[in-house]
Amino acid sequence: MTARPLEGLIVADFCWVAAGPVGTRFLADAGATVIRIESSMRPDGLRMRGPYKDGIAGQNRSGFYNNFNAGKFSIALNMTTERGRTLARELVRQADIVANNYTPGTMGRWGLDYDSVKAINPGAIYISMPMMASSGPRRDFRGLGASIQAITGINWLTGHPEKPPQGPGFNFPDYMNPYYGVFAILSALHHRERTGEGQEIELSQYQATVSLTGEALLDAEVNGHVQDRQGNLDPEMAPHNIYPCAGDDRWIAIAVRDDQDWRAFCDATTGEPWASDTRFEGVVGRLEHRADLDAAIAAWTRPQDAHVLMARLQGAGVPAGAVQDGRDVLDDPQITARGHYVALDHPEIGPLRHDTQSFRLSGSDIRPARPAPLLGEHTEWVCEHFLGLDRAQMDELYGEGVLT
Amino acid sequence: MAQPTNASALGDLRVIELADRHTALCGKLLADMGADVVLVEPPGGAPHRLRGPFLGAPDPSRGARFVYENAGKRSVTADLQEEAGRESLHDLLAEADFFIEGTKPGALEALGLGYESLAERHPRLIVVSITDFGQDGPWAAHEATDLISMALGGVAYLGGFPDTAPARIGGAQASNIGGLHAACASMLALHQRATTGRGQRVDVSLHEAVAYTQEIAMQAAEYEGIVRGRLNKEENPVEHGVYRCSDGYIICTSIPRNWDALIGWMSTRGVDIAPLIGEEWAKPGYLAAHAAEFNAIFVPFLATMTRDEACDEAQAVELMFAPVYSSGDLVRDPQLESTNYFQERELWAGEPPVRYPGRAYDLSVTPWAGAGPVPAPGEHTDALLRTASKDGVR
Repeated sequence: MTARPLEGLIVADFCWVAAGPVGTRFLADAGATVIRIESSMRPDGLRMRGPYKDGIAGQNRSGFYNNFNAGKFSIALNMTTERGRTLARELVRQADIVANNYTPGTMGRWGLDYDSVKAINPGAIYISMPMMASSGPRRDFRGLGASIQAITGINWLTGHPEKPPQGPGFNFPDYMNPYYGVFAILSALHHRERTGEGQEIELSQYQATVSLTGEALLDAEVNGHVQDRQGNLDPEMAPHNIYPCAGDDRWIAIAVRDDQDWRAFCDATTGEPWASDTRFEGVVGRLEHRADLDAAIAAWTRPQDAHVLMARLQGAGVPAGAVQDGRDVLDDPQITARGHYVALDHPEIGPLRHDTQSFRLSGSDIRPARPAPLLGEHTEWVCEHFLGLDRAQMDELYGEGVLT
Repeated sequence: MAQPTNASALGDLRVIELADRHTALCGKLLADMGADVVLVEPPGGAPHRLRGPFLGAPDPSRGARFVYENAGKRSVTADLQEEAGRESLHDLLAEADFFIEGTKPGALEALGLGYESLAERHPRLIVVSITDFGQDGPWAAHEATDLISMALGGVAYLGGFPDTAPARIGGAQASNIGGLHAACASMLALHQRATTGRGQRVDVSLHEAVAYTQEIAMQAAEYEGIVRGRLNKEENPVEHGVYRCSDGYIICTSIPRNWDALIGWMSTRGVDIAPLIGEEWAKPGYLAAHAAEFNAIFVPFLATMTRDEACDEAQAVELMFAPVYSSGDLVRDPQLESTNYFQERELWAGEPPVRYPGRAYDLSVTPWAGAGPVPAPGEHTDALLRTASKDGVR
């Protein structure tokens, strides 16, 4: 294994909540030195969102915060002071990448808008992630992942048609949009390597999430057809649904892609009524009579164990998967064999499993090198190594309330 | 933003994409930044071209998702079952930076195109494999579709309502999640190649990608030993409630936090807010316990307004409300118009341009290049393959 790909790069990370930190987490896993500038007067609300270790609340105990900030460093600065802002600007001057997901205007009030940063650091790659954009009639729109997925058409495509469009049940865009941001940053980095030139990236969270529905948008634009939510059905495949299994709230997903899968499914379920029912022989018939087919399959799956049934159907080559909950995924044999979760020993709450990224590189190990930082854990290290401050100067800044 | 120049961030890169549903978005993201992306398809075209709905009449170059993800790429057909086809692929890989593929683990090895032999012949090549479960592990040979990936990765369990079956996210998002992760991972390998001079293997697992997208379901289990279930609730004022307006739905977040702003707004609209006065209402627990009482006033209030009226008035008092839009709303949305989100592109020769979506970001120096024409299967075979033969290549 060689060094990690982004070792030596410095990221001045002004991100908070979820959508920003998920992106800078990727950069940290890849070896960049990611320094979170946490405003001590306006701490990241994610630190006080559960789940908490053992259910006990505390700003260093949140699994939400810790998972998506692993591998980073933290300096706590009082950004309401001019001295605090000056220190932040000095850090930004040395950074390769400057990232924020504040509402438009916040960075500018700190003297950290792109033009100010460019003046002191022309090679910087500077990304902001407004909800909408820095222009347009909804420029000042306030929202969360939950509202972004509603306004971008995700909710309209998601869930059971007899229910209101309540959406995926969590803030889905917060885990998608940051990857658009990372891709844009790394593309800009490639350009900088060739030309020495930095640049500004504006990632519109609205446009990024809308872009996850390109098929539906083109269908509307070209055909004038508005796609609606279909639960777990598919317009071209049947059976294709989630069926009940034995136990409390246990389910299995089965997807028969084509007639070959159907024959495999029938072979694996010999003796069941559908196998000899000529209505179901071809995909057209299965789609036409899918309600009957789904009812028969549900009656068959209901007393069975989801994982056992999954193994049986997969053994016959039929796409099937237990509907796993978070606890199932944490310990499933595939994710365990792949080493997706890594234990990191957190100084306050001990060793706990964290996500790594979803891929392995043959030439380097992409994973967080340390747990998420305590609030301000690396303040003095950053002051010494990046800001050139000695002990006496730090003490003075503590006294003035600039460092906390 | 500064005025963009005509530079493109990845204009120096060549990508060979062994086309399927897993590789499509990764290739598209690279193409959008200017990379030259060439599809390699079996004679007649890749199967995912035939997935509907179609833009107009059914045709291998008109599948809506295929168009969205492949417009602007080029296409070569080659039969990799034949020696000549494999040599054609090698010819393409010799001049490529990336090889993106989504075949089942072991399939390329069986053809003599496994990673080791590719790396030996093309040491600078970055091989990106995007598969349902990754290259190894007990489920590596399992079959999956979008629904199966969303189920096994824990995301489907979070969707739907407590009194329904779990529900996946619409729009076949598993391959979008994997495609985004793969594009980012590819760029890491590219960055590292600048130092080492060598390519490497990028082994992406959709299963892990979906698992990473569960928000806090994993941490709920790891930190508190509890299972995060389906939290959706109809007309829930405390968190993310979806309500009816006169012309559709609106989502209402942040109500307790901005309680005074909410009832102030309702009052200016002529609602008798007397029953809602009192600081206890701003406590989520109290509001949850008295949701029916609140909804008796709030539901008729929203029903008199359109989604956009309600959203804009709520946003003006700092309530994070948002209309629930469909694709039909989005293609005429003023915000997207104002940022030129849809860009006119000629997708098929001789036909009028189509307003094409997809620009997630603006880069001030190296702008989003966006789509070009949709390639017909093998349209660029002659131009790109000097060694075309009747057996392996059409």
